[in-house]
Amino acid sequence: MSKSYPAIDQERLSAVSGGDREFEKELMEAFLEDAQLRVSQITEALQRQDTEALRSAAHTLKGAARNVGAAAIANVVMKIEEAASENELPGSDLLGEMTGEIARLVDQVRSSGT
Amino acid sequence: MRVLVAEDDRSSRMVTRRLLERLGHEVAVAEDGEEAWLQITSGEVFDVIISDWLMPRLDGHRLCQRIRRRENDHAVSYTYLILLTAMTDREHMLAGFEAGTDDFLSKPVDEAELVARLRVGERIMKLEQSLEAQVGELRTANEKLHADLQAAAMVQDSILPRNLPRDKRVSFGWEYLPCEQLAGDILNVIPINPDLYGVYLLDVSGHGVAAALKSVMISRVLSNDPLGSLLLGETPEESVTSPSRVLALLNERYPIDENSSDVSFFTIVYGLLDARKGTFRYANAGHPPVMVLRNGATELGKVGGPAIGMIDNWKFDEEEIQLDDSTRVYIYSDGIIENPNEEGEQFGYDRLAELIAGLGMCSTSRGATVVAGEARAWNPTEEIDDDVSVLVFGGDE
Repeated sequence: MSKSYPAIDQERLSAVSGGDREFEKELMEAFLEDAQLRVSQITEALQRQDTEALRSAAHTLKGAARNVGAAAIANVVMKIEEAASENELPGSDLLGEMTGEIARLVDQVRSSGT
Repeated sequence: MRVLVAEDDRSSRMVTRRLLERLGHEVAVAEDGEEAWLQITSGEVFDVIISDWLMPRLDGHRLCQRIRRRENDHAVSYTYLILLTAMTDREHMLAGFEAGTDDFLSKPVDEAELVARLRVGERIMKLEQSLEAQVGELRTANEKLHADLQAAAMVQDSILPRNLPRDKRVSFGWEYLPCEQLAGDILNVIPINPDLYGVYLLDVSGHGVAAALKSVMISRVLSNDPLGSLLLGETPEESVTSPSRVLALLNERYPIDENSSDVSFFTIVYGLLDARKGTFRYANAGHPPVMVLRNGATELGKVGGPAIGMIDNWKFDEEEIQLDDSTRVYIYSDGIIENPNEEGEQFGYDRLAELIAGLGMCSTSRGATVVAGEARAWNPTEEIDDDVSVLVFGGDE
């Protein structure tokens, strides 16, 4: 399912940057740096079984991902947020998918950045 | 426009900033509400503030409240506020508007929506700014007008008699209660020779500076200054002008000009009091009739005529009243008679007659004070819209 979402919505990104590749790279780097922080917050919340902290961190990451056009990440994090909102802990498959999508984006940014 | 973006998420901040800069705006950023508040209060002026809703330390909702309170308390310029939110439910929107936001912008920020909302903001800000400028101009104009009115009131006050002539044969009393607005009652007693006094009470119609200045102007020609006075005879052989002639001269000099912006006119009672003979000979142009108290009974003066300037070449009649130790003559403005109470009922002649009869042969100054005071008390509301003035005289008690 998640494969139907691109790692990056290039249309959204270009609309923001106006085609400025330099800016796009800076933006993605800033996003990925902050995403790592959110992922560790999500992991910690999961260990404490704190669904409220989990929901909040997922909500923030989802917003940031949508904002920069990280469509696939936004999609999987939304599922985590939904689970947490229902006071449920998301399955490890979802967490794996999330880290996988982040890694995919990291690769893509690295390969595009000359 | 100068735009401040308050957003705690770094990449979101970068995106919004980038979009705004590409639209040609000057952009400042803050990482949360508290930082935004610091920038605002340190003197930075922004046309628009775009703030995230959820932020650490100070959220967008409370930031809006603070900004609006500051605008209100310190009269600083209006800022157009836009709350960024993914929350679109009705309750949140209402809370946002309640806090003082002008608009919402949904997340993630979309260029087309941003452009549209900023266009509204720009329009509102232009209106706000021109309104602010107009209010400023009006305030200045109003202050100037107020200062002018005060100056005119001072001039008007300066021509009221400080001390009426003292004479063993006759005593004078007066009271003048100006209304809130500047109006145009004036009264005075002018010594013409050791036995003769020119006595007048006049009421210029309308309010404001024009009425006040007119009353001052008229008081100049009703003086005993040989230069320009209408009272002191028209030829070298004549030392005094008759009351009916004085009114005819005023009538000639101050016609109502319907083509002028000043269509004010005035009513007046003018008379000559002869202290040696004990007579008061007067004429009346459109003024309420004088009221005479004699041997405990009141009667109204018998002569009248149109207000000054109403009818060209009017011949005013004169009446002579005998003054003795049992006589009081009351001249008063229509503010006494026409002053309505809360039910709209006027004070009227009957109440005035009853009041004056009741006062009997009290001192003239007490007579004036009581009549003016009772007429004012008839209308207990703070503001009366006409001057109340009374001039009383009679044989010395």
